[in-house]
Amino acid sequence: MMAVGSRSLLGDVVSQNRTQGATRRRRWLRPRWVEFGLLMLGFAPGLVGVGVLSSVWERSLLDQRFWPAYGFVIAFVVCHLVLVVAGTRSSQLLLPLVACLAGIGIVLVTRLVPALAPRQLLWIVLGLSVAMTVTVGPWETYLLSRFKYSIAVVGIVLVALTLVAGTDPNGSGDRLWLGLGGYVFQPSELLKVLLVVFLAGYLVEKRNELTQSRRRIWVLPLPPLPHLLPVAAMWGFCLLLLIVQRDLGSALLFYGVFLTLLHVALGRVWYVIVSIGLFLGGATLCYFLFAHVRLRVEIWLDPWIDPLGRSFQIVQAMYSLGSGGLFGRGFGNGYPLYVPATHTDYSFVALAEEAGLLGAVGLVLIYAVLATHGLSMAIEARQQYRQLLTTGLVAIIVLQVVVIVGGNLRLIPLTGVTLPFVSYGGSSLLGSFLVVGLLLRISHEEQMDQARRDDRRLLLEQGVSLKASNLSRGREGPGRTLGL
Amino acid sequence: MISSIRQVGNVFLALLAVLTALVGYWQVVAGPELALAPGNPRLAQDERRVVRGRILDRKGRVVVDSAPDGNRTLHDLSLGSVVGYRSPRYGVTGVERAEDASLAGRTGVASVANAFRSLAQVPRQGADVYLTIDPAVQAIAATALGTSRGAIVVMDVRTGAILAMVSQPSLDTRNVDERWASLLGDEGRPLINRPSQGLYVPGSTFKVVTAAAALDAGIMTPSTPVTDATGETTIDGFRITDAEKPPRPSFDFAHAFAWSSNVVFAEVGLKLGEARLREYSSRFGVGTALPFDLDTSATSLSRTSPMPAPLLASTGFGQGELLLSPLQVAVIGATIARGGDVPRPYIIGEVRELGTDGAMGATVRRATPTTLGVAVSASTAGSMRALLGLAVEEGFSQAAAVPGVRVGGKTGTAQSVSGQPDHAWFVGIAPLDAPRVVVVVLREFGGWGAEAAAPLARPVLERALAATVP
Repeated sequence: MMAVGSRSLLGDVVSQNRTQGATRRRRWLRPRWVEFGLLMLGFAPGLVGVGVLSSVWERSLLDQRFWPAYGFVIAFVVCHLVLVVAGTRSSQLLLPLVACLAGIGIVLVTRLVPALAPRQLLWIVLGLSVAMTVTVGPWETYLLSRFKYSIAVVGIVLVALTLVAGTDPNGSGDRLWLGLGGYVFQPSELLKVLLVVFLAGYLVEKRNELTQSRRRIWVLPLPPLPHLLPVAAMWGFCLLLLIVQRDLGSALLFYGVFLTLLHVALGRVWYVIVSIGLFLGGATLCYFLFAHVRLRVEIWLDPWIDPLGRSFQIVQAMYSLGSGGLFGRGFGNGYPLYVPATHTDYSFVALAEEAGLLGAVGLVLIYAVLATHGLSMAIEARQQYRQLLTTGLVAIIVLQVVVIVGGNLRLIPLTGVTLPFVSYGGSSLLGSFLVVGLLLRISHEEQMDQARRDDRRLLLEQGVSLKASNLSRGREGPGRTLGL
Repeated sequence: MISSIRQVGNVFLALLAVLTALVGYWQVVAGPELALAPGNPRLAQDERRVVRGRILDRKGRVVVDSAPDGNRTLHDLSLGSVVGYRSPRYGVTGVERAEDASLAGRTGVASVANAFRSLAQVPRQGADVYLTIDPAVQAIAATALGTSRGAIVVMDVRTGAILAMVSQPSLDTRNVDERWASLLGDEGRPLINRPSQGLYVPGSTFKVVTAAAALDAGIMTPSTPVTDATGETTIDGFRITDAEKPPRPSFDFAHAFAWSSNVVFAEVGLKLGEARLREYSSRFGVGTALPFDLDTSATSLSRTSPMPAPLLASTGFGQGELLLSPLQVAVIGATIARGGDVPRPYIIGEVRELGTDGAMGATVRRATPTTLGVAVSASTAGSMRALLGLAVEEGFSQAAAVPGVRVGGKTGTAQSVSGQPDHAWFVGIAPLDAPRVVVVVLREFGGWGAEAAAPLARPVLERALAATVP
């Protein structure tokens, strides 16, 4: 921990005088052939899906129904070109992984509800625009840590607006959306990113105060009370989501992301244990206090009590899963539409029915690669803020997968959280692509720093004098940040 | 902080691994049960995606095929009870049930081809089932019975193949679901396939079994003199009467059969005794459900055992507690006709893959004629054929005589429910010297067998003989 701490001090020094270096080093038209090749590979599942659908539906490949899928390919190729033209140095694996997931998603939406595919494409294009703006835009991520309290205020305003003026556009009974000129937006999708941005900044700043405590409760060290505030606030906020908004998925996701950041920043396991205990306690209380929570839990534990009524969706999803088997029923040949709200709540089950265990595990593996790659990016980052921010952003995606797929598979009660990049849903896609944009940005800045360091070393070898303290900034250990 | 991120990574991967294991559980371990759960709507969908095979007769005429909407269309109403219905709610019966796997393309050579079809996303194709029904014989049998309740069975005695099977009133297999209540309540009992499932008192047709047992056991010969002067007798206070008094007071056993003397056969039954009567009956198949492609009801000689003398005597001439199906009577006739061994009746001749361009497809399975055992010796069977011939020439079965062919037969007039007319029976074989067909006619509450049943058999016999010319 000491070593890391000392490095962070250096990292802060770096961030002070980095901006000039980064702008100086920017070069236009940097080829990204690895990304291009992997992108072609990432398109494969979606395009194979289009081919299968065209044969099953007996429709031409040029049929209007398949246009969104082709549009998605064009959108990602354009993004790739944007990154190339802008001379971005960011990870070349991220965009192909997301393209693979989004490709599966848009073909799945085409297969389930063809009429919604154009909108899904629209959201993907919007999301990619956001991601590209974030990646190549003239800004730096350290601004996020500087303005963390303003960001927190934006988040609080969003929550307040939803509580006061929330609407329920699809009749689910939960007012989780904000309406704006005919379009609706689910603030929790933006909120999760804002939360990570704020917490990363806050925890990096306060980690010393939070870890150095003298007072103890029994054997447990107690952090200074003012710094406990965020923990209590998060706990309260998540229970609020659960009770007022009936949004178990978001509550789980937010709390999970919060715990991840808490653990990474403070490295105290007992914080996490106590926090999990707090959440479980609150959730248990909710179970006894609120009928709608109780109902959710009861039909989760035993869906056969009312298979034609309240647990209809769960039971149908189990039939759908079970009918998939090892190899699936073939894309376009199953009946995933017997499950109500498949394209939003049960897209994983739809894929599992038609692509079988192999397809479902394949999808989970893509997320696993995304998680591993994202966290390795976090480990290789040279500033604590970037490490924490990257970890938090990866946690958003992974925990969202765990919450929704876990709900689909009856590991936990079903929630309304979407499968990132795959499920239909505008706000969710925008939120996920914002995460991708931030990850690409961080990785770009990281590579820029690396390049600048290499530059300086080169200058040093050429005999240019440099302060000795700058030498120590060279990476410890053999692990080099690759272009990936 | 880096070690914490590694821990987070491990937790994330562990969580994703749990999801993988769980999806494996749901899809592979619990999957098969969920896939076949009755509530799973995919079952009905899968059934609809199969192009169900057709049911045809031996001449390739379509009896049942599937309409484009998947509903089954019956083209020969007289075979409705035989081919049966398919209802999602009330199940499957008849040939549709017996050959469900073939018709749905689940078994046989067709399943290999179907594996490729499902890979190629082409609907599975069921196999065609060819019945042994001869359309001409079936048509004449249906016409002969008309609208009277009853059954006609025509069998090729050389193989056991059913050439015609009529159950009247027949079942219209369309829209069974909508008409279920009225079908259940219909006193005509259209849901029962009378030839194989109907149970009736056989009356004098059972004298074939009694006579064959008596001859085979050596109790009687065709020329053994018997007397029946009054047309009635009393056994243990139980009065037995003939349907019609024989024209002479004393005659031989052959004429007792031809004139259907209940008095003589009551004595023969008593002489045989319960054990031998049961033994011979069971050799003919009585007492169990006949092995057959369709459902058969278990026939019975007598529920009571030991049988008191009056019951044994009346069983001897076909009354008592006897309950036989028309198919069982046909098997008895066929056994005599083919020399004493009992044929296994069958109605499903072949299962073939769907033919292309009007030609028949490759054979998946073909029925092989089998025997269920030997009931009586060949000489007994030969003597019995002579007795059946005498019954047609001199006895009550003259109405069944076919010009130019020697026909053997036996009528039956079986007491039914009290206050109701008798069941009219006739069992006939032809040609007598080398029998090819057996015809059984049953008319519920039809009255006297010689008048109500035997005349119906004549055109059927004629057509069946024409259809079976070697």
